[in-house]
Amino acid sequence: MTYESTKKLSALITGYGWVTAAGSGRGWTDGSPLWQPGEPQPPISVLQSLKGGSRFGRLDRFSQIGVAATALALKDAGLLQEDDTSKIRKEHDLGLLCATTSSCERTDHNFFKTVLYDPKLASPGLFVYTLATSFLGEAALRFAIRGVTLALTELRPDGSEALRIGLEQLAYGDEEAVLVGICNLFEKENITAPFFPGALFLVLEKKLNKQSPFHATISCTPKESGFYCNEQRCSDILSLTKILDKNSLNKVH
Amino acid sequence: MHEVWIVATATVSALGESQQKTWQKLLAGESGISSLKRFSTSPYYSEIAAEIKDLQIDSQSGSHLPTLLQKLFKEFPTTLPASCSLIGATLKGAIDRQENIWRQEMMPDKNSKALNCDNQPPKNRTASKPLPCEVAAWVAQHFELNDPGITINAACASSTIALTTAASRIANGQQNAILVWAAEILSEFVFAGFASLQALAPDICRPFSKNRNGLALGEGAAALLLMSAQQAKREGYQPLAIIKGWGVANDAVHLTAPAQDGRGLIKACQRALKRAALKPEKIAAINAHGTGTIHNDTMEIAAFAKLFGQHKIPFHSVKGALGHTLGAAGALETVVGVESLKNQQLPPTIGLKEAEDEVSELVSSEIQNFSGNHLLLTNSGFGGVNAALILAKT
Repeated sequence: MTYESTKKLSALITGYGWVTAAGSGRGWTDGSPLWQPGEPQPPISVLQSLKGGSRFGRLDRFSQIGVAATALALKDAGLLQEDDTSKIRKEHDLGLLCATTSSCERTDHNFFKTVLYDPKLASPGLFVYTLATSFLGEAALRFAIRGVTLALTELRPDGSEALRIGLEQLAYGDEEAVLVGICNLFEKENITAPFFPGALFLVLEKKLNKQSPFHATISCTPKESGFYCNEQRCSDILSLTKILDKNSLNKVH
Repeated sequence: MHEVWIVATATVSALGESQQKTWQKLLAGESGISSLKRFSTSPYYSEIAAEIKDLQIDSQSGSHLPTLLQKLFKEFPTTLPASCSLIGATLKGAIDRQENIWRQEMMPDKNSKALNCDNQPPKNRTASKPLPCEVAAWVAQHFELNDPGITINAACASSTIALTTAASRIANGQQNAILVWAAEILSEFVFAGFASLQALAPDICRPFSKNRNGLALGEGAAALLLMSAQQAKREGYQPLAIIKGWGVANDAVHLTAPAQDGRGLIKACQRALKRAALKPEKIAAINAHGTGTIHNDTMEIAAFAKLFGQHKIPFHSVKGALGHTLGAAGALETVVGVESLKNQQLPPTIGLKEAEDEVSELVSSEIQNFSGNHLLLTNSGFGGVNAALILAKT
């Protein structure tokens, strides 16, 4: 006997954005792989165009790539104004969920260097970025994200649990839309493919509206691991983006 | 919607290695905050924290965290219900192990001096990363589960959000049983960080006092087994409390400071009340975040005033006794909340001296008795995060 629901959880993918060693972008790529080894470079022009953009340099690198990827995803979903990315298109309850394995380990190390150098001179500017969620706070205040904001630390950085919780939030939570993604910046390149450093975020919305053409549908059931993207099976965010990329999907209105 | 029962709980805190010890000492007005011995505090302007005195380092992992978890699960059911999954919360996991790795890498010649602690770093250990998710693997191993589940990091509301996530999954029939665990240890990394922010109390942590001047860090752990009422009845569990409502909201105002008008906390509480189908006046008591920092406590006072208006709801904070256990705070405080509801008592707010005028009748350094069925718990943290939980008496 079981009480577990068989309700299918589903949403529309209305935008996605990424910052990886392959570059940065939104919507879809030219077919080149999104993930590759190397250091992701934060897209300066994207960060500068955001609210408080002139001060983006105080953010640690982990936050820079995370905030830039969320901005690109929101822009792709039409939730940031195209001509002025300091303004969100509409105020609605938005959540932000990020899966990470590296967390902010590079910033942790940099902060602790200041402690070892002289504890009295430990850097408060670095310390505030020693939480996996610091960049979520930076994104929240820039994009008026007023719903749930959390990081999931995963041994396998594929974003599957973040994606599942995102779908649950849309079904049972208070959010109308959620940003769900992965952000990793490893201190050393000790992670093997496909888990390369970088950030990728999807915008999931409950329902279609005039401003929200969509790339694909995403769904899952409580009892089954994995997801369906446009009826194609995928196990996590990484394989999901391969489906999006492979099909070079234009948005459906 | 399925009713969500809390059917088993455990805590380890600076006040004691069992839930009952912690509860009794809280009622007795004792504080676990004292001079810190784990590492040298001589470079810092504060030397206090709520430290678990005899917490030994685990030789295999090189961290105090596994020992803390062992103590936690000593009083917990040894086997979990079928299909039980794990949701954990910790901010920095086994950061003490990482500290020692960095010390060895960066200051090999000064290592022994720099450590200046009661335990030496483990030898012959590979420098693998002590990730928070690794802690989840330790918990899974303890219960002989293959899946470590998920580990949530949402600043100082981490374990509250772990509980809201678990409650939502059970209430909506996604799962029948979830063990929520939370653990945080004291480390120089975190101590130095809060010192750099000038956020530590130099002597006494005084939540909601006019002269409050900072928080005291703490360490501790808590575990709560949540089950659907149907599953619990089937397996013979009795409810300790029911999770009736929950809500989460972000201020979207500042990276480290809370919104002074309490907008995010108000929204989180309103969501919790709506989910519980309760009017604000049905809340009988509040376990507040109450860190003892100027900004947090001001924000909470503003939020409670807006939420409850003329209804005078008594509240308290445990952080003057247990310290601020960061990611574990919400889970520890929920266990205290379960005891509060059962006994219809709010423990004293330790450290309170001359409360802020607006709340002088609502917060006390003495035990506050109350009568009612619902208790609100709140936590807030860096990044503008706020979470609220409503417990109902059984």
